[in-house]
Amino acid sequence: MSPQLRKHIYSKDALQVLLIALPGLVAILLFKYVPLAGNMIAFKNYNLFQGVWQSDWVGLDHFRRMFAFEDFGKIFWNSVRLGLYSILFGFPAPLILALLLNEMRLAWFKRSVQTLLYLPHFLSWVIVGGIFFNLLDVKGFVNKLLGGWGVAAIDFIGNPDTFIGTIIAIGIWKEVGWGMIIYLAALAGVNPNLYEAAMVDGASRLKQMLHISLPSIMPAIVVLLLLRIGNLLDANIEQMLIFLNPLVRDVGEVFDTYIYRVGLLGSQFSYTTAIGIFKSVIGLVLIMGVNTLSKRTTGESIY
Amino acid sequence: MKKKLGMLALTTVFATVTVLADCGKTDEGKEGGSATAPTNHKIHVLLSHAEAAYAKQAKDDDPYIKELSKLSGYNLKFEFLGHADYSQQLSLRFASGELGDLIRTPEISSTIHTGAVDQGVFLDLKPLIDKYGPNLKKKIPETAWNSPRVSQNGKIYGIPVLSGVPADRVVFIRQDWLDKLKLSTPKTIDDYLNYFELVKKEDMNGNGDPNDEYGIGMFDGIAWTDIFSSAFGVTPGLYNIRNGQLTPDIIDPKMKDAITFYKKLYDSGYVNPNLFTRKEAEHNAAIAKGEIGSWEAAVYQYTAGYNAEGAKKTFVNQPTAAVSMNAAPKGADGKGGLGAQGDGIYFVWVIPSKTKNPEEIIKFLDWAWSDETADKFFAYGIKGQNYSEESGNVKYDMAASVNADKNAFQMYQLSLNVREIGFASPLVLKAMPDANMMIKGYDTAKANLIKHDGLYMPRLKSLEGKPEIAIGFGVGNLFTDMFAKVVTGAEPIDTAFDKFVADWKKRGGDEVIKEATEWYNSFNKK
Repeated sequence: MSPQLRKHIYSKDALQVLLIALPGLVAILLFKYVPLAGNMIAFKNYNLFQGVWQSDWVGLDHFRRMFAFEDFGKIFWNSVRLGLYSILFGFPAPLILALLLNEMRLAWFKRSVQTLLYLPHFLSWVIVGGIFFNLLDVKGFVNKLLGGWGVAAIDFIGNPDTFIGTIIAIGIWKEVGWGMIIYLAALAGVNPNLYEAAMVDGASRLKQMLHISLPSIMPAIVVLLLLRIGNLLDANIEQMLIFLNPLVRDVGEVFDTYIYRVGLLGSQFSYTTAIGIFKSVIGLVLIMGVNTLSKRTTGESIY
Repeated sequence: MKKKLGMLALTTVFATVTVLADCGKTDEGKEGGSATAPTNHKIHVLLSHAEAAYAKQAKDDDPYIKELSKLSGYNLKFEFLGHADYSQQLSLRFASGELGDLIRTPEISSTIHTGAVDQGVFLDLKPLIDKYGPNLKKKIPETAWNSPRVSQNGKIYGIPVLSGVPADRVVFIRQDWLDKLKLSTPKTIDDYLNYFELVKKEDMNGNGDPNDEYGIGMFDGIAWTDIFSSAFGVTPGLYNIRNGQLTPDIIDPKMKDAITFYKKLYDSGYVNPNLFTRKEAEHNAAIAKGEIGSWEAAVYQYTAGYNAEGAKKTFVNQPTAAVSMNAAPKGADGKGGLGAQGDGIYFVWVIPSKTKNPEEIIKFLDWAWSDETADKFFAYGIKGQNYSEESGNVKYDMAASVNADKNAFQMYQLSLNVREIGFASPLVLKAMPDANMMIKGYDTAKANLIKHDGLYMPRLKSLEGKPEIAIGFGVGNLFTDMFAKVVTGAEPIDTAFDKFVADWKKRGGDEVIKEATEWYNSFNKK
C-alpha cells in the first residue's frame, strides 16, 4: 500500500464517510443479501417447524408443479399484460406532470399543486379502495355523471374489459405525484444558462421543454425506466388484493396475488418461493437485456 | 447525476429480489414467568379481536384484563391480532416463533401451521388435563373433545372453545318494512320474492328515491350472505353422500337451480348489484342507511345494534326501524337452512411445547370453567362497574353506557371469555331485557341448522395447496368465480356449470371425493 493511499484511507474525512456509509451497507447486507440464501427453500419441502436446514431436498419439484399448473399460462400472461400497461401509461405520467409543473410561473401555486398531487401517496390502499369502490360503483358518482350524458352504467371494477384500465388509472392517481418528485429534482438541477441562451435564440416554451428540459433529465428517465422494466412482473399486491374480485379473476389474477393466496394463506412456502424465483429471474433477464439495449442506443445504463 | 442514480439503481435491483426470510428458530422463554411462584404466573394469550369494537382498541392495562387477572390470580396478557387477516398474521408468528402461551387457532391441523402436530410444536395436553383440568373434562362435552379439530391419534392437542349455542344463524328482516307493506313474515322462497318486489317498488326508507333499496343485502363474503341455496337442497361448503360417495354440494346438478335463482335476484334488482365487490363494512353501512330489506346475521348481533334500543342508534334517520329474526327461506320441498351443523367448537386453544409450566395454563382454564366469580365476570363484567349486586341479586343493565359503549359487553362475554361465546350463557340471557326474543332467536337458528354427511371430517390432504378447488364460497376458487359470472350474466348457467364440474374434477376434485368417501366409510364403521 502506497503511503499516499494509506494516508488517504486513514484520513479523518475518509473515515467519516466510511462510518456514515456503514449502517446502510450493513442494512443492505443483512436484509437484502442474507435472505437470498432463504431462496433455497424453493428446492426443499420447507416446513415451518423443521426450519430451512432440516427440511428435505426435493430438487426441481416445485418448479415442475408451477409449470404444470393449469392456470400458469393465464397468470403469466395477466402479469405481463398488467406490467406492460402500467409501464406504458404509468411510467410517462409523472414525467409529463413534472415537465408541465416545471413550466409553472407562480412558485406558491406550483408548490401547492405539487403537495396536493402527492398527498394520495400517503393514503393506505384500504382507504383508496373504499373511495374508488364508492365512486366507480354501478350506482356511484361516476356512473351518475355518465348517466347524465346518456351513457349506460359501467361496472368499472367488476367488468373484465374495464378492470385493468381502472386499476392502472387508480394506481397512477395515487402514485403520480410521488413519482414526479424525482423528476422535479432533476429538473431543478438543469443549468438556467441553457434556458437563457435558448430564449435569446427565440426558442418557445415548448421548444425549451423538448430540447433542454427533456434531454437534461434523460439519464434519470432511462435509469428509472430500466428499473421499472425489471419489475415488470411485480404487481402492487395491496392494490390487487383490494380490487380483485370473482368477476375479473380471469384477467386480474397475477403472480403476486396467487403467491399470496397459495403461499401465505395456504402455507405452501416452498412452492411460492419457486414462483418468486421464477419472477426474479425473468426480471433479471429483462433488466440485463434492456440495459444492454439502452447502452448501445442511448449510451445510458445502470451499470 | 448518472453515477448517483446508478448506485440507487443497483440497490433497488437487489430490493426487487424478494424472498421469504427464514425465521425457523424460536426465542425461548421470552415470556416465561418464574417457575416457582404459581400465583401471578404470567400467561400470554394470542388471539383475534373477532371484530369486537372494544377489543380492537384494548390496551395491555385494560381494566377488564386487569380484573380477570385479579380474579384468577394469574398475570394475563391478551394480544388481539386483526381478525380478517388473522391466519396470515398467526402464520407469520409461527414462522418467527414469537408465540404466546395460549394461542387461538381454528383447528390443530390448520393450514396456518401445517405440520405443527407432527413436528411436536403443540403440547399433548391429555396428561395435563387428566391431572389439572377435572372441570374442563366435565364441562366440555365429549363430542368436542373427540373432534379432529382438537385431537389426533388419541392425543389431545387443543382445548375447544365452545360456540356457546348450537347455532346462531338467522335472517334479519326489517320488521317495520314488513308492517308497512302489510306482509306477514316471509317463509317460503316465493314469500321472499314477493317481499323483495314490493321493496323494490316502494320507497321504503322514505328518502324520496324508490330505487335505493334492495330486498336482500349481500357482500363479497358470499358464504355469510347466502340464505337461499339450501332451499334448493345444496349448500356450498358441505359434503353429502350421493351414489355411495361423499361429494361436495357444489357439483350437485341442483346447484344449477340455486345459481339460477340468484341470477333472478340479480336481474330483478332484488340484490345490490355490487355484491361481488362490496366489502362487509359497506354492507353494514348500507343496512344502517336503510337500503337493505333482509340479510343473514348471527343472533348475538341483535343485542349489539338491532334490538329496540340498538336500532335507534344503528339506523340513520329511521326512527321506526325495527328488526326481527327469522327462519331461512324454504324451498318447494320444504328444504332450507342456515349454518352447517357443527361440532360446537368456536375455535381451539393450543399450547406450544416450549411454554413453561403448561400445567398453570390448564389450571387457569380450569378455573375459568368452574369458578363462580369467573361465571359472573364472563356474563356481567366487573362488579361495581358493569353490574351491582344487592343481597345476592345481580343488577345488570345491558343498555347502560358502561356496557353498551363500543359494545364493551363483548369484551367480557366474548373477547376475554376463554371458554365460549358468552352472549347466550344462562346468566346473560337471564339478565337480558330481550331475553324472550333472544331465546326465540336461538331456537330459530337451531331449527335453521343444515344437516350434512361431512360432520367431523378433518381437513382433506387433497385440498392442500389448491385453493382453486375449495368447495365453498372462498376467495379465488373455481366455484365462486363461476357463480359470479353466471349471476351477473357473463356466462350462461348450463355451459358454465358443466365446464366448472369437469374442470373441478380434473384439477383434483376426483381425489377430493375419493379421500372424503374413504374417511366417511372408516368414520361410520366404528
